[in-house]
Amino acid sequence: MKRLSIALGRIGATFLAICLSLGVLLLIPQASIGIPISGSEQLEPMSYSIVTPLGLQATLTPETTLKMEFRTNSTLTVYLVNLPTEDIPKNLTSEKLRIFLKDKAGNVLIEKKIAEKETVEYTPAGMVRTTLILLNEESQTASVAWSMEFLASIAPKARLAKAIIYLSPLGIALAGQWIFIEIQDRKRKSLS
Amino acid sequence: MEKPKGKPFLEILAASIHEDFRFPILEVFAFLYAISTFVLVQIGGGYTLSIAGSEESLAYSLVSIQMGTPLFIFLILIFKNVAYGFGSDLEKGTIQTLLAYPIKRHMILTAKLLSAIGISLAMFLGIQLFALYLMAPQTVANHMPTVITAYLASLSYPLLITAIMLLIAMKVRKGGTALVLGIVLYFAISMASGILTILYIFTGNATPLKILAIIQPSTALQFHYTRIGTLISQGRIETWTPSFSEALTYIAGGYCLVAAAYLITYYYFSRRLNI
Repeated sequence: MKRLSIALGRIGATFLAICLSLGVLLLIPQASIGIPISGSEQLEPMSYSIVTPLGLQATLTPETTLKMEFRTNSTLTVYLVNLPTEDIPKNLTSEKLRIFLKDKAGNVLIEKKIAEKETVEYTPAGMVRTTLILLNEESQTASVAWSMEFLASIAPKARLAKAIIYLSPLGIALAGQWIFIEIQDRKRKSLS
Repeated sequence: MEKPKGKPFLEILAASIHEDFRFPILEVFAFLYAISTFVLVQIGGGYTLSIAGSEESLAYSLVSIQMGTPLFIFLILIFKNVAYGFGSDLEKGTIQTLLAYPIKRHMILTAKLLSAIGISLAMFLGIQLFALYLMAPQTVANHMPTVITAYLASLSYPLLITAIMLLIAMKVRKGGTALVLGIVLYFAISMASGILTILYIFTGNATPLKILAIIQPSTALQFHYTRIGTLISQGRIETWTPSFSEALTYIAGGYCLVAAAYLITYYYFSRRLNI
């Protein structure tokens, strides 16, 4: 029983050491890489526009976060899809585009309604060829301005934070019981 | 005389673990593994925005870059446990206590190795896979065979060095000397690897590299994924690009060598070592 407690306690302490290292990594700030790109356009009612953030041949890898900032005077739907730009049909109606995206649901990375000013961040889980689609389903013309930048980090911060959230309570529980039993043992020894 | 509690094998294993991983050795190494895994990926990783590369080669480069420094830390832990720890046991005579247990010699060595290598390896692989999952879950899930092959290829060489170091520790029976000889051997082979690669680039002769690939199968896998051209043959670039199955053959060859080294070690410990 005592050995099991020690073994579990050491595993818990190891988890806490890993959490500590992940915590240190979280403190390292993200760095902007490359030159931020920006643009603006007018979107007719029920129309869409295709933007290729990385150029035609490039892919986005997991240590890079794509940060996109939008300003619009209307409400737009932003789609970030894992498809080469040339695979996305250009002259569809908004209805048909929705059907197309429904068929390619597995490739849709982000689907978000934006209004006024919004920032959207995306960190891929694997290699992706990102294409951005801005869809205006409103009855009036929308003007939209967007800017994009790539942020490189040691590791995806959201996933690091998630790992710490799950791992640290487990580590505290496992190491805690070990420390508790050790303290009780010492008390017992000092009494006897 | 009081009989030891529990099974002798487990008793020896528990004693070895207690000795090899005194608090906070395990925790410090876990911290070092985790931090070096992530930090070095970014420093070494020139693939942040890759231009139309295949995901398989990305998976390989992610594993090989991520493994670089942690593998060296893993070796330090192994050197400490096997060369210094086991060598000191022989030097101080504490191994005689273990030999007093009603258990065969090869089982004693197995318990010692399980503690020295098994736990270090489990921690190393656990943190590596955890980090890979955090970094690129999709890439890892899509290319698990590549990831496993990359680990198999890279671990063969440290395991071989460990077996040789263990043999040296038994022969010299001194922890410090075994440790120094192990470090020298490790750096000698690493330097030979660098020299042979340069020799290949300048002469185009891949035979020495192929021999090296048996000791260090990761070389074959590296050449499979990364085309390294030579500087000869009148403008025509010649490359040694082993196929994936060829790389697997080198890995199998490497593990045969590892198995042979451990067999010799076991034989020496069981039959030849006079204590």
